[in-house]
Amino acid sequence: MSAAKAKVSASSGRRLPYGALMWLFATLLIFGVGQQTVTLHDQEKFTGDFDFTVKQVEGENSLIFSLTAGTYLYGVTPEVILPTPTGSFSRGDETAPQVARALFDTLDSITEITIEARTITVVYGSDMEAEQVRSRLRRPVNNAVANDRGTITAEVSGTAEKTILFSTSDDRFRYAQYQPALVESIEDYDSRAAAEAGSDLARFIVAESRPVQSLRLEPTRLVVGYAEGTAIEPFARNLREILNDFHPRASLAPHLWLLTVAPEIIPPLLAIAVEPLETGLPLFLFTLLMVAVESGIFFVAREGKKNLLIHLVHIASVFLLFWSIFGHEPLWDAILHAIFPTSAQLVHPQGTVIDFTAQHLELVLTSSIYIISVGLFLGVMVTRDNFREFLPLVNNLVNSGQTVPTLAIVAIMGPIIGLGFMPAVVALIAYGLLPVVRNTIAGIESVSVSIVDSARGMGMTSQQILLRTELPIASRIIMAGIRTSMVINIGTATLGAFVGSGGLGIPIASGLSMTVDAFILLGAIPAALLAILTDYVLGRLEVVLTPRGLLIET
Amino acid sequence: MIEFKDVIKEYPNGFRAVDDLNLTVHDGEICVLIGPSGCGKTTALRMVNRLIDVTRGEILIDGQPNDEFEPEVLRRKIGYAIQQIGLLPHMTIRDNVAIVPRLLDWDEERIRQRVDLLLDMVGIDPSIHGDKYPRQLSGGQQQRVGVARALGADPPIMLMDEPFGAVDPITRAILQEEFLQIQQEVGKTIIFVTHDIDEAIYMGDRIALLRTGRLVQYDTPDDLLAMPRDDFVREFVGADRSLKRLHLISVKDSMMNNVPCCEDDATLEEVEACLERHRSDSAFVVDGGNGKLLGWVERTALAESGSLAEAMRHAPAASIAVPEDATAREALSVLLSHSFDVTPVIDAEGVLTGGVSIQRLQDLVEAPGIHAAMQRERGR
Ligand SMILES: Nc1ncnc2c1ncn2[C@@H]1O[C@H](COP(=O)(O)OP(=O)(O)O)[C@@H](O)[C@H]1O
Ligand SMILES: [Mg+2]
Repeated sequence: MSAAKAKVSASSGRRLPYGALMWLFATLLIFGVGQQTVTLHDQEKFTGDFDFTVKQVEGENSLIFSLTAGTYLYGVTPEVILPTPTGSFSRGDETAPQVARALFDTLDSITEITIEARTITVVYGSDMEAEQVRSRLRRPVNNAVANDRGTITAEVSGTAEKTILFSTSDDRFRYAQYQPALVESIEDYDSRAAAEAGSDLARFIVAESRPVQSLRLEPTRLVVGYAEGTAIEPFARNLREILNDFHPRASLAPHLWLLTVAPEIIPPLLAIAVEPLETGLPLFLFTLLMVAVESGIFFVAREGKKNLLIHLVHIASVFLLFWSIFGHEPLWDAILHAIFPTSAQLVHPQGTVIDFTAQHLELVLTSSIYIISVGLFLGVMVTRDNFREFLPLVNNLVNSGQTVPTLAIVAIMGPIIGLGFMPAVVALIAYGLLPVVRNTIAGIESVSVSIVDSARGMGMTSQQILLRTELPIASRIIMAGIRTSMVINIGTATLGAFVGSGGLGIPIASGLSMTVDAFILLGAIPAALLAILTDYVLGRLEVVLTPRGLLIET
Repeated sequence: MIEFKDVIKEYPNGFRAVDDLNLTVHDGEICVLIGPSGCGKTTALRMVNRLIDVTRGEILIDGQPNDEFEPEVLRRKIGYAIQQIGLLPHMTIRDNVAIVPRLLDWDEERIRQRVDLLLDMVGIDPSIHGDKYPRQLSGGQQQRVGVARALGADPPIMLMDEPFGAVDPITRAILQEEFLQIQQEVGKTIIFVTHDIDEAIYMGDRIALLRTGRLVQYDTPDDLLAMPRDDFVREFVGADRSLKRLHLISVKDSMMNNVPCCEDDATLEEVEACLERHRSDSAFVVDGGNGKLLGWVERTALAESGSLAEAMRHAPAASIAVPEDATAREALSVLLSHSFDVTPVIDAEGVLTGGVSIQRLQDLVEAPGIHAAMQRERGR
């Protein structure tokens, strides 16, 4: 250890491993601060979703209200266009609103349409499959939804009646999962008088509920003593309502702070919520890896490589971009809203950006693992003396893999393997093999014959020559091939959406087919960022993995 | 001992690179393989450690055919150094030298000691260069490391394929000299390939001259120069083979003890008599007390001077004389640059011990090889 330290101080003077420290800081931030991150929310669209379980204390006039874990919901349940008159409309009805008329136009067999605040019921008369009817009608119904945060789902409510019910989904966006708290510390009031002089919540409760005689407030529990002869059922129900009425945002969620610091800077509708970071573990591992990478680079840093500050800025910006953009729906929401203020759809119905990114990474990583292992294997094989005759064949194969368009490969694959994840992986492998195979061959061929000859002459076995001589010397070129392949792969993987493999191609594909520009960006921006990040990370890895002696320029 | 027995090498394309080679390299000797480019030197060398397989015939190492070993096991016992050096660029100098010991599973402490010893031996300071990488060293330094690496596990046999071929002539001369010194210490059995006849003559205990895969002549350097077997050899060793032979002869062996010489306290008459006796126009003057060479005196100066001290010319001994361990060629060089008939020879103390004359050198190069003469002697 001390020897290693001495070497570092000798080779790098008093400079600090800024890069590694930066990543270490990021790691600590993620785990040390409880995997939490800070986002701004539209306060108006929060509703607290938590509840109490009520238990009666045996032999006492006392109820215990226990808080269950709550979820903060963001956004409101979407509603059908508000100026639209509600009611039942039949074909040819003069008063029928725009939506109803659009639906009548779409399908001739519709006889009656009922519009309510959150549902549209369509009665139709044809023999068409309900499923077909539903898909025909989905687009115009969705277009009719004024609220830009929701989706409409359809249920077929019975083929006999030939009725389809479209209803706005109740699936609101979940932001915060938290343990709510009634109060910060325990408060005990043994009489109404005491409670009336107590905290806001205590005063509120005794003012609203007559039977309450004593009160004990704990962070997650409320113990209420009530007057002899009180009817417990209505009392408990009433008390529950009272508790929910008491403005939950400020009092029950210590994680939710109303911003009072600088109201003139922060719009009044914004509140800051500290919420758990879903991507915590992968991010943590990622930053830890980068700590290793940056320390590695620092340890091999040679004299004259004084651009560590540039690295620092690099790392910080890439990291911040990655971290702040990928995990946070509201940010996407805000960005897209700013770009497309009039778009009816901003948030993709099928998932969040982080979902798509996760699928995308799965696709890229799975195929890359195959690409790297197969590519290395092929590259190594055809440079062995025994298999050298296959070199042109393999070269042609991997070349043609890249010339045939990916979509074509997928199309060919489709009938054979079917649609989904694996065909996309196979296509990506075919497409991504070239750089890895080519660079592995080039890297190994770049090892001069005299080096291999002297290694053999010293008595290394073929395996030792490969592992101790050829691969280390070729490592830099091979790494460059892997890097190219993976970066290309990230772009190509967006095509996987066309075969249902998931990934960032989904918003792009649906954006294209539905002509929603926002969706295209929702897929394209993260994909581009991912490619940049991958290139950067692999570039750093390349520096670390290249043997130090090879970094010396001659 | 390495023996080539009727060795033939035919490459897959039918080309016969080595044709019926019979050759014995004795323990502790440097055998130089020489010949024009493409004559099969490298092929012959690489068959010893089985980098190339023999087509017919066999190569014995200490009496044992070399194909009885696993190739890797065999190679680890044979040092291998090549012109392109082939240091592994991703390993430090120390690690490069330690390759074979590591392959042989030596323990690390022993390896460390061995590596430092070898680097010191080849003139690379391990504390300065040990942890550097090959690309940080000059060509000459890399070549030294290459030699150290070949000596890594103290192999009894070394194969060297033009090991000093890639460095400039001055560095090459230094490396050759240093290597001979190392060889004096380690006494390896060495096959050394070169195409440079001067190097062969300087380095070789024996020289094997090859031509299109066939052994033309296998002799000591002196005999090769003295008695080229045919025109090919004669042409190959060059028209200056006589001069080259002078390289091989030391002054000590070629000097005559009887040179015109007088002590600094001699009278003019005594000097005159000495010149007469030697039929010479000049004589060397030595210190009467310790015999050290002081200068010389010429016949023409005697008439004009009153004493020897007045007549003689002083000169530092090193500028007019050659030391006893110089080669005859150096003596010739001094002979040509002064006007003396005889170049004086001095010992380490500067005492005049003899001289070399042009006549004497002529006699030497015309004589048959010393070794050949001795063999003839033995044969008789
Ligand atoms: N693998 C090979 N296949 C065919 N011919 C070869 C091969 N290697 C060398 N040769 C030929 O064998 C001859 C001797 O080669 P080599 O031993 O390398 O000569 P050199 O004396 O210059 O070291 C040359 O003419 C060369 O062209
Ligand atoms: Mg050669």
